[in-house]
Amino acid sequence: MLFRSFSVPIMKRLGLFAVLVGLLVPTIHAQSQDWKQQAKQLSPIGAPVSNQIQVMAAAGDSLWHGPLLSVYVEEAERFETAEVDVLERDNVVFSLAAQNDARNAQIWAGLAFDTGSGAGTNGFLVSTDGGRSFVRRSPQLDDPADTTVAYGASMLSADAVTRQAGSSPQDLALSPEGDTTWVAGGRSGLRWTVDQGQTWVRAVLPPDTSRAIEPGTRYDFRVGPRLEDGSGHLNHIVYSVLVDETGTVWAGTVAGLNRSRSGTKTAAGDRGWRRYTARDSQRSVTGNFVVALTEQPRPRGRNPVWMATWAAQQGGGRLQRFGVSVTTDGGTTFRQALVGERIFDIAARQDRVYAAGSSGLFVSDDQGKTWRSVASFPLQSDEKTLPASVTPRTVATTDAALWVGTNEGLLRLDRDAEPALVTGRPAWQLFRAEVPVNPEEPTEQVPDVSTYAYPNPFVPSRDQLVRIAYELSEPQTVEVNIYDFSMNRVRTLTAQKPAGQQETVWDGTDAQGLRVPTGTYFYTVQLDNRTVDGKILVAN
Amino acid sequence: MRSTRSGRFPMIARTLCALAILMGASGGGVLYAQEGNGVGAFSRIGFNARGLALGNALVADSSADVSPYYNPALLPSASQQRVSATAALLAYDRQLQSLEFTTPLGPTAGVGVGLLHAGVTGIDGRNSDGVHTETLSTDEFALSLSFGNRILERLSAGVSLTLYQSDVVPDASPVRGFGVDLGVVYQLSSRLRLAGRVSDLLAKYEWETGSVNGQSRVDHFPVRVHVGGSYVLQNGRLRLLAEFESRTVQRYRQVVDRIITTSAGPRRELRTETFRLHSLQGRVGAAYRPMDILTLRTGLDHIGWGGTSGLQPSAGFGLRQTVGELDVRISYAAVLEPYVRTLMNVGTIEIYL
Repeated sequence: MLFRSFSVPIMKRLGLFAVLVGLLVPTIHAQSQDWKQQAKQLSPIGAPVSNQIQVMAAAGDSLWHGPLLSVYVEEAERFETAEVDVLERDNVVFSLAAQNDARNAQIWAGLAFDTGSGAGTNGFLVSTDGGRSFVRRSPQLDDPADTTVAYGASMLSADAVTRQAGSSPQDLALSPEGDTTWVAGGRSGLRWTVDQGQTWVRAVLPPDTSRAIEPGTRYDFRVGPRLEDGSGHLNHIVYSVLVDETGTVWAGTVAGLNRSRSGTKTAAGDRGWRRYTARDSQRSVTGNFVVALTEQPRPRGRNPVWMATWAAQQGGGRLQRFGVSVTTDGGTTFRQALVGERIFDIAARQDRVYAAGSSGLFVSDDQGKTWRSVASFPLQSDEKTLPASVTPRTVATTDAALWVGTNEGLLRLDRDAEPALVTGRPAWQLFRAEVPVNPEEPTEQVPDVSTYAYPNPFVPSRDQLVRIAYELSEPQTVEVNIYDFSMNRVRTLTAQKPAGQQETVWDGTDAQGLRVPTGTYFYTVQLDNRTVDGKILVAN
Repeated sequence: MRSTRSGRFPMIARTLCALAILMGASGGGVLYAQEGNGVGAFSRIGFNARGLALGNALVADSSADVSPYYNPALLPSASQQRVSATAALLAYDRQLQSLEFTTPLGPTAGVGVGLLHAGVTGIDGRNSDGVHTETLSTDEFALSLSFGNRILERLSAGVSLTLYQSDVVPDASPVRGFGVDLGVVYQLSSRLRLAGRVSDLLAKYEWETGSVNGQSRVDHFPVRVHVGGSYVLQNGRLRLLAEFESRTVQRYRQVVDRIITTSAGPRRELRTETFRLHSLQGRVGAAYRPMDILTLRTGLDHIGWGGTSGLQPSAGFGLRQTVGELDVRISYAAVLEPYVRTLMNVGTIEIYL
């Protein structure tokens, strides 16, 4: 079982936040440049390695997910994780793409690390054998000498993007044939590879001043992301990418949605692009900052492409909106939905669309005309607890289940129960990381203790619940008492618990439901014949 | 909400409750509670071994050189310059120390400066996965400047200004608050003294916990009204002390304001309700001096809080000894803490200059 500390919850938000409040030109921190190949077997684990599930990708009946490189294998009903050295060095899986069909069994993981001022790219892990082994690939960055880009008949000047900071792999997409992989690399723009990531080619997207470009026309604009001095282009900062069933490439940037039909591609690989932006119409995309793209597999007609947009301050205005848009005709027309909702991720089945957002999980079974919000997730097991409201960060559908990644663990709903989301309250499975109180081999990160409370510090406005973990040798009624510094009792929590490692949760309020003041609190847990205790730092 | 108003002292309870509510800040309703907890709990444990051994019932203590922590109006009884240092051994990795200097000022007044420090070490920092990340510690301080003066022959008054500082939120600047104590003492007879004190007026912490993704919050200190008396017997060898405390604190609760219907379905809108939490408690203490160099002390704190489980009994002693030209006094208190029943050991050394 792997246990690591990482700051993945804030990293993805940092990247997007930087765009919301203005572009960063971050300083780069030293990071290993060791790109040697590695191949590791997947190791079975009992539970997710983290409760912070912010990136997922479905491949058949398997669910790959971050922040380490882990998979839930439906057939075996177990989690497995790739013990890759690079993930032991403060890197996290920032984006995932998976393909599992008769032709291909590819897994791509985009790696990022915290530079101190946002996430920085740190290359990729690539598997072509369904996850049995992975090789490490270098980041999609330029050499300092890469100051020009050939585009059709034009030789365009370009800003060489050499810094890892700001260029984290926000999104990955695989072509239907599996021969091309695309990365939405933030400030490094949109890039593709046809040799499994050994080399990357920079895609040229329209500048902010153009609606479309095509390789046959001569251009004279500079390729590069918007800089602090105002030069460069917001449309060259890419956050999402998708290749649909027709081979059309969709790229979401800070300045719109870019579409490239497969027919516009030249022999050299250059593509024509059309850029869509928000207009004062219900028939346009909701906003220009496109953070997520998903294709919906429909039995007839062209597959709809769904996208989530955020309100970006840069180049903003009243048409910058949070919401969801969909095109069912390859970009000719758009429909809007969930306007005003901050949506992080979208997943779709033939007849149902799911959107994970800050207000909950949204479900539509009529192609987005009406939606139902799911803000709470009843659990199958009463031994586990979720806060009253959980924010879904990512959503995915496998052959067997609907998966929702949250900051409180991984939620699974059997496919047969999915229709009940629209009409009722089906019960979910919750998978959470479980750090033992008495590990067989204690480490600095997993010490041998009788009890611990987590997260600690506990921030009620952020965490909602603090969990007090302890181990019972037999089923019993457990009483947890919480005290302030002067040992005045603040709260008593009593529950019947089975044997094994258990948790009691506290919401940071006293017996009358009043928020306790910021400070240090002490708790005692009455076990079989002994009392164990710990401390909780409450920071409201 | 269940009302648990104490029925022992209904008139006093009503009077003090009304007074405490007047002292409180504006807000929502009043809740009656057995335990009125609020921020700054460290500053309400007690200041030194003498006070803790006597159940902290010193608001009207008639002996000399009582710490102004218990009532600034007691400062006129300062006999000479005094330096005092206290350290407590506490369970759960808590620390508590105090340092104080008091001196008479002219024939009728006295001043004092006191510093109280509390801390907690060994806090097991964990992330949201339960993985140990760091070991945390906290520090809190209360620095007081007190002045007391005998206004009339039998009446004294005093004021304390206290600067509170709390350094408990990781990676955030310490937060500071400012509180005012007012006290009066009236010598009713040679044996009986009555006193009153209002503590922590205006005191609050305004937190900014963005460093841990928290919010801006205000935590008010409880406003406490103490009324008590002391009675002297056996030519001063036996002192009986008692006081009542009415405590009011402003606290907050999140409630569902309304359910709004959106295109995406129903959504809860929360709002924060403000409450004033009120509680009453009593304290008693007794000190007996069988010989000039020895004083035996006992006390009971938190009477009326949480039944017998919340009681805080204590006992201790004081010794006087002259070392050269210095008058040295050593005090010890053993305090049985409420609920957890751990023993607090407190030692104080006082040097009279």
